[in-house]
Amino acid sequence: MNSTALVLRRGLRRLAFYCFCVMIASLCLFPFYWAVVSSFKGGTEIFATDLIPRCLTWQNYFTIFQDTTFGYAFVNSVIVSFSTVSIALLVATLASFALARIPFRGRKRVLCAILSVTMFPQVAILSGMFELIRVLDLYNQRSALILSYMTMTVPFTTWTLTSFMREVPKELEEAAIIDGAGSFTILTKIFFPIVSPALVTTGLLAFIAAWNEFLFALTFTLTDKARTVPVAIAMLSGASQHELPWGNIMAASVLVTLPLVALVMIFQRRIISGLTAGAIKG
Amino acid sequence: MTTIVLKDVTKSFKDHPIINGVNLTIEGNACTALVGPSGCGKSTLLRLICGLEEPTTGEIYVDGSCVNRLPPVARGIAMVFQSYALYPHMTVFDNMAFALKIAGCSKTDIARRVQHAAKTLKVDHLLDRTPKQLSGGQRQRVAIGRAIVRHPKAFLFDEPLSNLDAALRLQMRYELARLKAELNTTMVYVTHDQGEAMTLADTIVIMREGAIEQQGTPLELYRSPKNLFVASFIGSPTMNFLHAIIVAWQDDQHLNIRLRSGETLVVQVPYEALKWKESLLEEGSELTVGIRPENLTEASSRRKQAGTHLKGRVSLVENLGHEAYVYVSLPVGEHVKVRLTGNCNYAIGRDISLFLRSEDCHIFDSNGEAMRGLKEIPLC
Repeated sequence: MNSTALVLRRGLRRLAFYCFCVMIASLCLFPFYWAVVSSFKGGTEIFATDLIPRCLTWQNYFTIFQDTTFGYAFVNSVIVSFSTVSIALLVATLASFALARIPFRGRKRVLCAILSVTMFPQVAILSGMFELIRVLDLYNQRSALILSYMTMTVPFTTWTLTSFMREVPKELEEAAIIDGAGSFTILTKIFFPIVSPALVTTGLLAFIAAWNEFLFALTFTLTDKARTVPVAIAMLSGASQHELPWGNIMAASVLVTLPLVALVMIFQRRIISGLTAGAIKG
Repeated sequence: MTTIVLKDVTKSFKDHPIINGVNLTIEGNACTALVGPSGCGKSTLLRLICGLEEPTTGEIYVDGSCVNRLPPVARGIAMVFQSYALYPHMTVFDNMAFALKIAGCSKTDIARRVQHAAKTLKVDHLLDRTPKQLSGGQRQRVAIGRAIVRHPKAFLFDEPLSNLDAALRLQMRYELARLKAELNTTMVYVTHDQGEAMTLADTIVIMREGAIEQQGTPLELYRSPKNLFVASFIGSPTMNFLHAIIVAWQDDQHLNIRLRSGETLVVQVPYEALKWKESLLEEGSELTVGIRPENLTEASSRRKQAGTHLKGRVSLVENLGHEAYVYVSLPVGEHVKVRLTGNCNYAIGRDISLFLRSEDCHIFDSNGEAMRGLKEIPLC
């Protein structure tokens, strides 16, 4: 085989590889593209199947703010998600420190229990959760959502943070003990700063989960008072019973992803690895 | 002047004994080195002293009071970790100030003490850096500085130099010696490097399998190792061991022995002191003769020396320039290392005749116990 054939073959192989990549990328990205594009389409054009829209309009974005529903829902979502994440992180940090660092009986079993809790589908605990919320008299309140979101976020954040806490060198803890630090000081002054990148990452994931949650939000709320964005979007209705306002739904969906994008942008500098560099021989 | 006393201390982890009844007195204002092969329990002993582990049985006394139940900080003991264990998110200043902040010292006091310690260790220009911006040697200094600022009663060092490269290790060894003279406190130093122990310590404690084999000054251990283990541990390169048997007792002070290669020598051994283990002293009993590489010389061909000659063949030469370690295989299948100085360039395979003096020989009975120590060298 001569060299030109070899070069040609290699070129073809590379071309095939890139084609494959483009194919996968377009398959993955198409729904997102379609949502963004649809949110800028007005009137009947929304039902056109052109890949590239002919004219774009901000009309849908104005429409969703004409009603107060969406604004309320947005505020609710922010409050619920931030509260969920802060409480979950607080609980998870304390719990994971104990699980990773303080030897006690049944530590492994507790960890296994935490992991197995995350395996249940939401529907399985829905009715039990509903009873609980009724007993606590939290129905149609934001705290009902915060409480129910804990069932998803706390086990997940605890589990992840425990593995990060385990990574912190034992010597650092021992050095702090020798320096006279108690458990709480060790947690707040040594572990907390060291695992803060992990806190940011898991916090962000928990935030996304809480922000996008639909089933609990639908079940435990009744009115605009406590409704969060995903439910509010689902409740958007058109002029008549038979019209689904696709343009508005898409515009709302795009809008609610913006805070997530912003959060990731803000925190991406903190999501760095190797913060322990220099602690022990490196 | 802080003395640390360990009384019948044992430690086991889940029925697995690590320390088997250690009795040890660590003198104040001196440096004591705990040495031994890995897994001998020397680090565990250090952790027991500082309070990171609790002894299974036995008591630990610091300045005469039992500290078994005291947390590390109340014992007033500082420890420098092998891995430095610097807090990665804090600056050098904060690393050194951490213990003082917890103790509730005033800001000015903290600043003064950290500055002073940093100057002593020559890291005062690095106070704003974080550990990852420091080199290995600098990290080591900061780790020591963190211990110094507390003005502890005693310093514990857990293999502090083993993470450094060879050149830096020598330099830090020198600086530790300087620091030791400057601080003049009780120091306990764990190492597996007998060279470090020999150069830094006032007292060496040799450990094996959780028990103390021998304790003494570096020269005592070098001159009079109690048994084969200590003899093979102290000294670099290690001592040569040759098999021998007892031929006859000349009198109650002198013993005729024969090496496996056939050479005989007369060694001075006090019979009276060893009488209790008579069975090992009978004619025909086996012995081990230990001779350090630096005590063997090449026999001069010109003048005949009185003493024992070993004939052999050069099998390997490690030439360091100013000296050479020559590995000689003896005809009977034994090997010896010889340290030769001066202009020495030996061809491998060449015949060589070695000369040894009987007064340099260590004699061990068949149980591996030393039958005598070498004469003390008078201080000059």
